[in-house]
Amino acid sequence: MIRGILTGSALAAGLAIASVSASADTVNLTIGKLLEVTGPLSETGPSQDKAVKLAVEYANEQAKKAGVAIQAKDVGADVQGDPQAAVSAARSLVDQGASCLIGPAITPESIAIANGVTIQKRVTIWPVGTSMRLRTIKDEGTIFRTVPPDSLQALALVNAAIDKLGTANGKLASVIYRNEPYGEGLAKDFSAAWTAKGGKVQGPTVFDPAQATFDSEAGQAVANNPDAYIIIDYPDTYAKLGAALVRTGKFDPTKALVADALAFSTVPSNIPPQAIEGMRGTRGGTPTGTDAYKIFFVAEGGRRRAFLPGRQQLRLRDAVLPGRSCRQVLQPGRSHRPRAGSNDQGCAEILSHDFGRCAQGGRFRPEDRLHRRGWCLRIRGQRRSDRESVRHLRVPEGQARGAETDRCDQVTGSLD
Amino acid sequence: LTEGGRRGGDAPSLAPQAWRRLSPALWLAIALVLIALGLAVVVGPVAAGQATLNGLVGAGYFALGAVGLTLVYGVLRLVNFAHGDMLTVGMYIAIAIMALGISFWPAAVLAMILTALIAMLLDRIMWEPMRRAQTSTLQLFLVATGLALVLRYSVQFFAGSQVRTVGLDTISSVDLGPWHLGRLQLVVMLVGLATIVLAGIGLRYTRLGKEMRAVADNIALAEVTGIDTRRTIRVTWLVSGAMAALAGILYAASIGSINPNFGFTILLSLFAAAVLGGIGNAYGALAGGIVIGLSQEWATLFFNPRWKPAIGFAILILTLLVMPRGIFGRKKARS
Repeated sequence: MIRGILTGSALAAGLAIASVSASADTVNLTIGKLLEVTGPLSETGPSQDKAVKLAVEYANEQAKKAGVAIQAKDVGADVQGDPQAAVSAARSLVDQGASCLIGPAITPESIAIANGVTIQKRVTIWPVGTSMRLRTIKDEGTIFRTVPPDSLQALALVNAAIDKLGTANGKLASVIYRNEPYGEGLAKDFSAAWTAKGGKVQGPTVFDPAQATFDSEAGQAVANNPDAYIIIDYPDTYAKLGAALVRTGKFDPTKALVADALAFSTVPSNIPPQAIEGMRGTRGGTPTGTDAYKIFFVAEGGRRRAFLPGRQQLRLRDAVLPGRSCRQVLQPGRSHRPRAGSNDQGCAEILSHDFGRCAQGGRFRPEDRLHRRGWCLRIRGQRRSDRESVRHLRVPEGQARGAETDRCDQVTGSLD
Repeated sequence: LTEGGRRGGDAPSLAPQAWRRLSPALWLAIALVLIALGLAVVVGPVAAGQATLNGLVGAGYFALGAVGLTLVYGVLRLVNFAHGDMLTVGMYIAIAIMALGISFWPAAVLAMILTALIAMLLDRIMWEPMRRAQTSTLQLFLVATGLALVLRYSVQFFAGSQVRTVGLDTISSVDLGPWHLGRLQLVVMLVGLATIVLAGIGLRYTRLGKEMRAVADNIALAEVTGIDTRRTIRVTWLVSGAMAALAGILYAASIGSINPNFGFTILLSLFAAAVLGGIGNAYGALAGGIVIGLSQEWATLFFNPRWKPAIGFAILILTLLVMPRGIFGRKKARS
């Protein structure tokens, strides 16, 4: 998720560099952050904030190095996990001069903002939302997505389950999801793909996040001793659901696969370790080992990892590279002079013109990003404070990240 | 305000009155037992028993939270929409105290005391002037809603918005034959039941309880008879605040994860329990909580759990159609 945010923010920030390299005027680019400071994804709010700041800082650094007059800054607002609050937040950001928006993370919020009259003409980047509902919305070309959709994630979940079980044929997968469009769509896609490969699906068990107890839901999920659990949830609810699953006495987290909303950088302290140890899951991301990853990561030497929590999870993805590539391609005096000259022209102008030019230059094609990016399988249960689990995996702490990326490449390869 | 049906009556008709007083509880208990037995036959005793236990856990949360709400309504006729956020305040105070190195139970007691004082202070600076000004019901409703927001965002301001946990063991369970129950959930059930029974006994037999009932019936008449109504009202707020804190602390400790919105999310269920039981009645909160909790969990035996809130509230509507004043509601006394 953090990488998703970074991708989106870097997309916006990097474009600023690309757009003004030939311009004599200083461009002040204001990036609006729609943050999950409160609500069901509040665990991710601080990291989202830091991720955008990181990208903005990077953009300003690169602009300075390139000698272009640009000053990117960010403004933020809390979407509260609520569609109405999200629309209010988006409007307040636009009022503060935001020419593009990054976020939010939750599907109903994203749809509400997209439908907002005042927001509709603003460029919006959805760095986290993977729901298929967000793929079909009429965005008039203003919404950019930097993560692959749940139709791919469902396939990755199926592959990950097969990787774990050896086969899908005759295997029972118990599907559990939080009652939201994201969970519903992903569960539906997974179930279709799993049954197509000969597997059986139990449930889905759907739960309301506002409920006082989750024990009945947990009981239904563990019934019939399924071969795998597919859990589509957010960290705050999984703290409750996970505890309820453990209380059944029948739940084995090593059988569980979780979707990207549970791909937190640092395991929240309120989730019982017994509910996650050995659990695996999917999340959107660029496979390590790609040229883009190597170029950036080697170039930066990992210095920026210190900005975000969960150091082992942090990678600046190749989404940063568009700006970098554009900066190299767009030299002053060449024909693709950007039209961005004021705050108000903003990202829409930049994206619609310069992005295409970059793509023509062969350095970056946004459509490739959506189709070629795979989904990574990730070993979970490596709680930072829980060294026992790290030792259990026989992975020295300093190499935990390497172990994870190796795993990631295997599964991604099978998807491509 | 009633503690178990209605206040005492004339001696000659004591026996029938006692029967009438017990009858709602008795009928409710009989009905619930019959339904549980029927479910055991239809879906099997293990599944039905587990759903019943789960429902009783929910009932504990709802009833404990609803008692303070119903007390305030009974005495002051105030629909306190800020009550859910008092649960939050109590919980966060407990977490703050625990951060000082104090263990859970002493911290819980201190948090109850502090939350009770906050509730009384709010009465002093806000509700009492409004009572004197004879503020309308609509205005009181809006003020209560505003207070809820102020409390919620105050918690966010001081404690941040991130998810918090008490850090107690939420995964240990007690096996009761083929059924299981979380240890903390069992504690919540027992503490909730004990608290409500104590509240009922206190209202029935103590001088303060009788004064509260007198103020609830007719505040002017209570003043004429020499009752210090201001003191009684403040005590009501103290009790309500302490019980809100207790409910918030136990709920949060048991479920393992809270954020500043958690009191608000449970508020509707608390109102449902209070109204279903007969608002203004301490035992009514318990009865209402049990009905709401059980009906929601029993519904999961036949429907996907996603529908259980809707089914729980459908039961609420049906019950109120049959008993418009709730299970323990009493007819309005003619003056």
